[in-house]
Amino acid sequence: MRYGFGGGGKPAKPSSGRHAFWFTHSGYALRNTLQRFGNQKFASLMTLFVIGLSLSLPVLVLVLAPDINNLGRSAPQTSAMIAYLDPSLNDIQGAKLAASLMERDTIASADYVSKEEALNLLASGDPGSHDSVRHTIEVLGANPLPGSVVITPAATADLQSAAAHRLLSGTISALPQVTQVEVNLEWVERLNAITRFVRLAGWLSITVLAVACLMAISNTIRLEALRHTKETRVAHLLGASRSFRRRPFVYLGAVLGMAGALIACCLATIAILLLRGPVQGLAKSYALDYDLPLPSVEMTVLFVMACTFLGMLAALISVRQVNPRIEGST
Amino acid sequence: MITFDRVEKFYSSGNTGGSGRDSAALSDVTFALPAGSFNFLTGHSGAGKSTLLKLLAGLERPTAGEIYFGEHALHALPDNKLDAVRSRMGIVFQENQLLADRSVFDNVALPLIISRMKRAEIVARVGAALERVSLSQKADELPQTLSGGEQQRVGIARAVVNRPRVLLADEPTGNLDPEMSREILKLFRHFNTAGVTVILATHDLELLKIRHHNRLTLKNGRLLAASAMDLARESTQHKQSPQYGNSNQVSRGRPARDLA
Repeated sequence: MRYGFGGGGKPAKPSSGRHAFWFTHSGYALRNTLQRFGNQKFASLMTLFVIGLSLSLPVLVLVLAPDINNLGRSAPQTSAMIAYLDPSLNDIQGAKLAASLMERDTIASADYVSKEEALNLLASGDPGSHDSVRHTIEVLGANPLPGSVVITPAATADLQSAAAHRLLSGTISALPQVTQVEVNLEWVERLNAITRFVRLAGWLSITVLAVACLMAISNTIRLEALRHTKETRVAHLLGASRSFRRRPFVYLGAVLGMAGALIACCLATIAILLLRGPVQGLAKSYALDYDLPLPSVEMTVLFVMACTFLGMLAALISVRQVNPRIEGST
Repeated sequence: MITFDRVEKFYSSGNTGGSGRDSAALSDVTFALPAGSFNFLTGHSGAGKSTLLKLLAGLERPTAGEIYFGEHALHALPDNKLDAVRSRMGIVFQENQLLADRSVFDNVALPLIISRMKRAEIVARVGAALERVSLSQKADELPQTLSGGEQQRVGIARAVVNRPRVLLADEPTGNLDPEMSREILKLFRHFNTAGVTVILATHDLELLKIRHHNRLTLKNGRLLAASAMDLARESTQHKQSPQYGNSNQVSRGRPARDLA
């Protein structure tokens, strides 16, 4: 079929400078998305900040939760137990006992502490105590401290409970070389409570993240879809497929998710940097050397990918709901 | 060939307990339009012109009856196939439905992007279409900077840029002055001469004065007899015209039956 509008005259001007990509379905959708951001710079930035803010809290929890968990385990009052040995045992026998304990599955580590080491530790604990220790030894005529083995239970889930610790300490105290086992069950219970809390907080933060991301983006997309009803309707009238009509909104969802996640990571990083000093001071007061961690590259990449996916999902849900009303029945 | 066979379209008013058959937009409409014909669709407001065009464009589904566009049974096609068929039709609206934030070029290029055409082809076709409607120099402009007539011409350029087999126009001159209406009609005649089937819904009696057309008149959703004068003239003219051959005859009643 020939229409006869090909002869003479200048071609349309804007054609020459445009890249071929912008004439593809994806290019067209991406151009629409970017154009919408460009046309409403302030509103778009505000929207991104709202999404970023709503995602920043889950990011903080995701970054800090595993570290708080580890912090608890590295504290001086850990779940480790101390087995005091019979004073008649020499260093070789003590070390042998520690080695045999290490072979058990329920024990992560067993370190022998000799009488001399124990005395040195005791003396180094407080500068003022050095003289009193020396005085005590002079009175007693010998080092009264027994050798000991510092035992750290294996960190498997079923060995975290106070009951499991009690059972293990009972087993060790039944050994003939052991006179007494010291275990801080109160701390174990506290630590387990912290672990449970942190684990729950982690799951909650992931749920909050998903819901916040879905809701914030789907609401934005819904408003965008309603704002661009004419464009959707025109595309429908011109025979555009459903995927073509949805694509700009899905891309918008992806951009919102991605940019929102990056903003959230930036906000979380700023918050952590601001909190670092005070938290370090607090940790020192508990004799801990602790520094708040920053979001890792791997975590950031994963987080951005997850939010991008959630953004696309939110967009699809919104557009499925709004577009049929715009397009009318077919 | 476009065929309507006993087509009915009812709209539910929503207050009849879900029966949904209380408002008839079209009743028992049957006709056949030959390829390459120029057709006016006339009738008062609410007669069913827009509904008929929507059915033909696949934007609505008939409540009963069958609609054929060439080999496509529009009444039975799934939505995605309807979209594909519609992309091969040219549609012009009374309110031109241009995208305000896109340039004239981008508006006209949209159907070609939808059809996944290559950049070079898009550039060439949009250039040619804009030239045909004498708007080459306005390619970079935004639609709101153009006059009503120019905007309608952009709408026409967009409708024909994909080289459709059929051009549907719903009151395309409704907002234009008589002189501009004649210009727009001239464009439609031009495309029709090139072989495009044109169906133009209008109640502008001035437009109906042109020669060589078929006329379908709707009243209260029913198709009245086509204009005898027009049909007689069509019959004579088409028998003489090699570009139309003998097939350009509008039929009313059963699709196979000729009225002329």
